[in-house]
Amino acid sequence: MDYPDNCIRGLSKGSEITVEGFVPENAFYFKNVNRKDGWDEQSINWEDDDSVIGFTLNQKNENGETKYVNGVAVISRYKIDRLIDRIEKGLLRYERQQINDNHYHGNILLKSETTKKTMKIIAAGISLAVEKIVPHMEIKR
Amino acid sequence: MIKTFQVSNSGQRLPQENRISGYLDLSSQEGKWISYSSISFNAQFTPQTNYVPVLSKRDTLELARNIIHKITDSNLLQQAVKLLSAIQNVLNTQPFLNIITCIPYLHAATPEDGSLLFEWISNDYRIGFHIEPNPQESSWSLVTKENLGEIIASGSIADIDLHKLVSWLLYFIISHL
Repeated sequence: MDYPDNCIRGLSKGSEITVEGFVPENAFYFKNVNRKDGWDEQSINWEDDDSVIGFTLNQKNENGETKYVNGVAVISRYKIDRLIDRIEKGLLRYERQQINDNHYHGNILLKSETTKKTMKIIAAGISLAVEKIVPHMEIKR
Repeated sequence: MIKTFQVSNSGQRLPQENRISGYLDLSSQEGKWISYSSISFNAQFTPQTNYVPVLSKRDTLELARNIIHKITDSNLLQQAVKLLSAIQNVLNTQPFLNIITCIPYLHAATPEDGSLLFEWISNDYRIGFHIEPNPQESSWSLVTKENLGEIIASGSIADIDLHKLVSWLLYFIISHL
């Protein structure tokens, strides 16, 4: 399957950008969503075209509020691949997972039995793969 | 522009034996930090023509302390206080570290998983302390980019000498400013 060079991770409440302009590691923690195939997810959008950053910034919660109040992080797929090569084989991968209203959607995936410590090291590794941050300029804080 | 300098913790000139000599690369001021090199204690060096006072001191623990007051879980609080005390102790007892104004803020966050996260963040590395509800699961990590060797290091912070760990990590930080 073809993947673009970058993926986009939305930054929800709790993922506030630091004063120096970095995304905290916890923005990249994986969630166990009870997938039957034994993987935990980190939701992303694949940057298939130039509209995806704007599309992601405009995504709304079920209540209609802006979903990613802290903007979005653009993550290098090359750097994710480097991370995959450096850690235990079979622990980390990514996928496309188109959903009804979002055909850019995908996930970075981590084996569900991974220890909390390892999950957080991998999250730190992903945070280092961030190429740029696009803040949500319309949000009033 | 490279300028030689002598500094002291208070910004006052100190006796020769207490000074630190080295170089400030002022051309890098547009970046996040002012870099330095060739710092050494008690060095023999040429009399100074440019004296650069110590810059206003960054308190690396300022942000981390702020979050401590918001923690209600006594288990997390106890571990966090122990960690921050260890960091403060290292900074207090190792003047070489304490005068470096460029140690980044130790950032703090309360992730949804009920843990507490402290992070030193740079463009090239992440140092994290993960305080977990179960102290036996609490850990530290160091992850670096390619230019710093793609290090992935981690360990438990339960039942270890935090002073030694923190010293090692702080020296890593000032070695890569």
